[in-house]
Amino acid sequence: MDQFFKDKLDQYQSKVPHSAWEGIDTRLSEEQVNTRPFLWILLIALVLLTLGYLFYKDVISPAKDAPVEIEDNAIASTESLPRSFKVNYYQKEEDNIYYVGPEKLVLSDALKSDLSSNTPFQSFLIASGPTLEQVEMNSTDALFNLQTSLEAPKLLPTNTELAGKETVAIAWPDYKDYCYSNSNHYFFIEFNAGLDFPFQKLGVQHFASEAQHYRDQRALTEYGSISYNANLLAGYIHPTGLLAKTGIQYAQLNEKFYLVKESVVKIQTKITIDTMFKEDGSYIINRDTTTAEIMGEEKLTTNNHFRMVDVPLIIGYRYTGSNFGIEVNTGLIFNIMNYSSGRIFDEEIHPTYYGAKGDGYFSPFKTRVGLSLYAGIRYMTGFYGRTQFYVEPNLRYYFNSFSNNDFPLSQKYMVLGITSGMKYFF
Amino acid sequence: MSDREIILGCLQKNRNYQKILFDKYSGILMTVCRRYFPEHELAEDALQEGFIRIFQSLQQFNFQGSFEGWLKKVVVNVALRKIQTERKVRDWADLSSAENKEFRCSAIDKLEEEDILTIIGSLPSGYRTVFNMYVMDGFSHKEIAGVLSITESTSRSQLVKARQMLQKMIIETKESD
Repeated sequence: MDQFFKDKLDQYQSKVPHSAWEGIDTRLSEEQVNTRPFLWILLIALVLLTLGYLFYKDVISPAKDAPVEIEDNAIASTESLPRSFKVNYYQKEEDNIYYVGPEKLVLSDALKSDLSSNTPFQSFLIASGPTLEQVEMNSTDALFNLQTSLEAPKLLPTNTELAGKETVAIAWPDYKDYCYSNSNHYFFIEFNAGLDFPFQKLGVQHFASEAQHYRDQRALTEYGSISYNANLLAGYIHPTGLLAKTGIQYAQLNEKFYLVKESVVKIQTKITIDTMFKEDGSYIINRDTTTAEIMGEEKLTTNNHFRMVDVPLIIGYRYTGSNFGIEVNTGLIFNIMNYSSGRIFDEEIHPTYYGAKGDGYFSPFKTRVGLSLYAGIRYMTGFYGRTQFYVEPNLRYYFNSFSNNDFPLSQKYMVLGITSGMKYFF
Repeated sequence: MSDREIILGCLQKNRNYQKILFDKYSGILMTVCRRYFPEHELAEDALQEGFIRIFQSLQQFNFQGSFEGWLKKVVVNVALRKIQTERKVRDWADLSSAENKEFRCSAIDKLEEEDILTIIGSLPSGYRTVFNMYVMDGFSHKEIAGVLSITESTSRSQLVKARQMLQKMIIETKESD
């Protein structure tokens, strides 16, 4: 009865309503429209970054030659001073107008509001006359030792009369201080590069015959190897320590396909030519051909690669100590392109190339692998001007299988890595 | 036009080739869907979902083995996922639906294809799914157990009962003639 049922229905063509194709046609059209959502995400991220930068440039940090003014002689306490300073000098050109390089500082009525709102701190330091060289120090204590013996420098909150002074120096906190502190907000850009190690997990996603066996054979022949990634991110840190950043990333996961074929027969042919000369000068040539079958093992090794372009969206929190900083980062990484190449067993357990060396018909992997979860803890130490260096051990988990939906096996990854990089503060 | 030409055209996302593939194989694949879903609307849904999956994963086909067999395999997988989603295999002991059906055919060897589809469709959903998977689509009991989240022994007993019920229905049909 089983065979009868099977034979009868195997080639039987049921009537298909016209609406079936219309539905498929509509779905295919919709899919084509939605094929590039991640490009939209990237575009939106770039627009937001641009708007954020313009906002920062025009509202938070206006041009340096904007007019500023000091109105009275109020002197603040020393307690609010940061640990170190950057100093700029302004030479008097005419009454109440000072220049530093190409930048012009006009001591006008607007100084109070500008210095208090356009810089990420409330206090600044000012010196005049012969003390300028001594002002150029990077120690708060040294500056205030000077203050005890000289007229300048003085710590001024926002208001000081500068009229009549030939030269002034205005100092503000070194970035080292407010990178560590949570009291200010600012934009940054960072470049990261790191080494990764991928951990592969194969699962049976379709219960085709021999799928279990296929998975076992795959697992025995594929090994993770050192991988790497690099990214360029831009972001913003809020005074509370919360931060957000996004950008573009290249990541490459590497694996090795290694197969030892035992009992491989290699045919070796040996040709021997002997020439024997007779007394009369003639000679005889004797050719001997020997063919031997050599039994041995053959090793196949191929480096497999997943080359990916990603858009990370990371949020984090920065904790700062007296001379170090820690950032806890987490977020989602959107894969926008994945190019796979290498060699694995196909479903019939034959080593088969895919990607560049493949024939185009064995393409087990997706061209986009979707979302992955990122988590990392960053340890920050040194500062060089506006630049900061750090290391960040991290973990990345891919939610989706790298293999296509109808491939018998699912193939997921968890990646452990360590990243180092540098961050530049605007 | 050969299957190879059609496949290459579909891989280029050419809608005309996709339509040709649909026209050529939709009848056979609809039969597969009807085996799992006697309700015509569900069968049509499965067919549409199956073709979408086929077009999405056509690059998987490596031109080794039967293309028709590969298409059926994709559609069967889609049907099984749909069954899992819609919980069609919920009640394994439900026999009531089989007793209310009518069959009009003279003998097993004279059963027409539509009669067979009707008889299979009359089985309770659990019996029908196991019978289809084991007899028609070549799954093992171990694989069936994995897909349907049941034990292997349950799968075997469902198959036995499905066969008994099919025989009974065919005999009753003979007697009524």
